[in-house]
Amino acid sequence: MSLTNAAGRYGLVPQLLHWVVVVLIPLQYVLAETADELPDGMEKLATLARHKSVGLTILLIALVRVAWRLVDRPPPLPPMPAWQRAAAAVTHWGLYALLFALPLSGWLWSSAANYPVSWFGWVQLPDLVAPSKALEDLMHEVHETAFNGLLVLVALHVLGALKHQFVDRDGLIARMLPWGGRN
Amino acid sequence: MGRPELKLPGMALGAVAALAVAAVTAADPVSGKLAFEALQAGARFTGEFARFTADVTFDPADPAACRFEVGIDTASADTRESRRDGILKGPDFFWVEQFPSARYRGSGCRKNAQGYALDGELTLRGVTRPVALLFSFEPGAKASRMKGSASLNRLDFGVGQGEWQSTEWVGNEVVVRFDLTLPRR
Repeated sequence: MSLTNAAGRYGLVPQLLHWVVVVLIPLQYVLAETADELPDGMEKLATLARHKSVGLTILLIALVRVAWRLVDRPPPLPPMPAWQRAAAAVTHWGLYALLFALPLSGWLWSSAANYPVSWFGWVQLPDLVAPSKALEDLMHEVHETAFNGLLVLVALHVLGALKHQFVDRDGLIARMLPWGGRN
Repeated sequence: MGRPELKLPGMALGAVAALAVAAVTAADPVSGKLAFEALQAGARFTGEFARFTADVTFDPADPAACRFEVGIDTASADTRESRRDGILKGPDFFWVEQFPSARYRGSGCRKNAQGYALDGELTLRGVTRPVALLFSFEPGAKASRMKGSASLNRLDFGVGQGEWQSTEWVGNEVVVRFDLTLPRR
């Protein structure tokens, strides 16, 4: 099992980064919903701070994943019709785009609301824009719309993977798992 | 620098009022800024007091004769985010209904290597404590510029009650910065 991609499967590093994000996205949803329901107070401040720190972590991972992908090409897709190939490409790049758009719109939202962001209290990030109520409202919209878009693309991504696994029976999911399958 | 007009009649605090160099005869509207900076969830944010008066007498030739009288409308605190402003003006922090103004008073400035220092007293939320100012002074023909800062611990003044006494998510230290243009009299 290699750290880098091989012909039939993803390497350990791309696999790890993929599954960490799979865990962090539901965590982000839970933190955001929890904060939403809390009254204005310290617990809300703390929950939102954690949401922002995890979001920045997702942004960092997205950067590493795209850089990795440019250097270490992913394994070729199994044989499939051209429209499915196109659908897979659109879904994958759409997911990457949203993994950038969500944290960036959140960061912009925080900057516009004059809430500078820190990464787990260790590093303070620069404000991307000056405080602005209009931009704050716009970024709130963008952040929520991007999340809805993410839900749609994740659903397509999972349905596609399940279809390959159980309808086409081409062992596609094993490409993203460290155990079993072809090598 | 545009400032909101005074909304409450009878209140001494104008849209940033006041001051002068040497003998003060009247409080003229001047441009000025009174800002504060604190740590929140590991990040430093800033806010401003939109309404305050600064009655300042200062002559660089005789700093010991200086006199500061600053009045701050606590309800004019603005951090550019309404929920945070609500908490800040509420009973756990400034409690503006009970303590609508804060005051800084001092006299007898000292020259030091960086500029000038003043050991005055701040009254905030009904608590009076010594707070030192450090400032620079640039004299001008018509107006002079006074710029400086002070550092204080919010909890010394009871700013942060209940859960906010914890400094885990909101730091204790607050830096206050001012930048005033003082017309010469």
